[in-house]
Amino acid sequence: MSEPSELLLEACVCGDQQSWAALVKRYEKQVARQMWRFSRDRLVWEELVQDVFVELYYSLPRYRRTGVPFEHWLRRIATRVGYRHWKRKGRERSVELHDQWQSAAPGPAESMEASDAARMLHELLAKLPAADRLVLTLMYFEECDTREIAKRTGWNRAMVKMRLMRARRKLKVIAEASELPNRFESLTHGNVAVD
Amino acid sequence: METLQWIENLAALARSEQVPAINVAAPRVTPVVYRLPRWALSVSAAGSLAAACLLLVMGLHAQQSVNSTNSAQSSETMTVLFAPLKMGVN
Repeated sequence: MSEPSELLLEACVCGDQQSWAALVKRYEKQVARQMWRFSRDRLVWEELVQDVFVELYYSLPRYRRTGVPFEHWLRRIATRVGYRHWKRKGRERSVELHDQWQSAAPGPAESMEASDAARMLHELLAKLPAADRLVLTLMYFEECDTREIAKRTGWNRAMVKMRLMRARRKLKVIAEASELPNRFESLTHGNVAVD
Repeated sequence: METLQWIENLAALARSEQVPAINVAAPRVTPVVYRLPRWALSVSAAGSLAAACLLLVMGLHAQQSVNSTNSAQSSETMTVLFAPLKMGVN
């Protein structure tokens, strides 16, 4: 996607509603997709998407001095908004994994669809502290490497690497305790069905 | 090791999920009036930083919509900035 023009951004900063609506329209899908990783509750998700655009609006005057590609800037804002949401909400240790999976019989026959896989991973990650959850969400869902995670979070790469290592270890323990890898054994060998 | 591989494969499948459709109403950009007493503007240059902080603090606590400008008292000057208001989702 090409960069929004300087004129469009200037008009947004000056309060032009049409320009602003055009900018939101242009990036809403990208932001919506990213924020879906932070909440799968539709109401919360929609609220988060709005929060990203509100924060974007306030940061527009600063953005024009950074020289960073617009999409990168927007992704950083979305990451910040999502992370803040998790920190505010706290850890969801009490969240139980979906009944559908708990009742699944162990064995290689169990397969799943992409939306179920996304929900399962989301619920497993929800049991981690916010910082661990963030690095793994960016790595697993957005396929970010350590450099990209560092950019989006503002943490240095050494810290990101350390967090990733610890977070994966914790997630492994959580996944094993849930017995989901046994119930959905086919995933171990990459035998997955994509929607 | 197998568990980590299982998680990697779960993630690979999860990434292909279709995210629900969304139609976001752009947060409405609405003029907001930040009230600032005149005396705050008459301070010397050294006080300009304090005035800026005051503007910020008062702006946060005393912001009003343009509709309320009629009731503004003559002892105050106003700075109009723009701020987005969340509008919900269609």
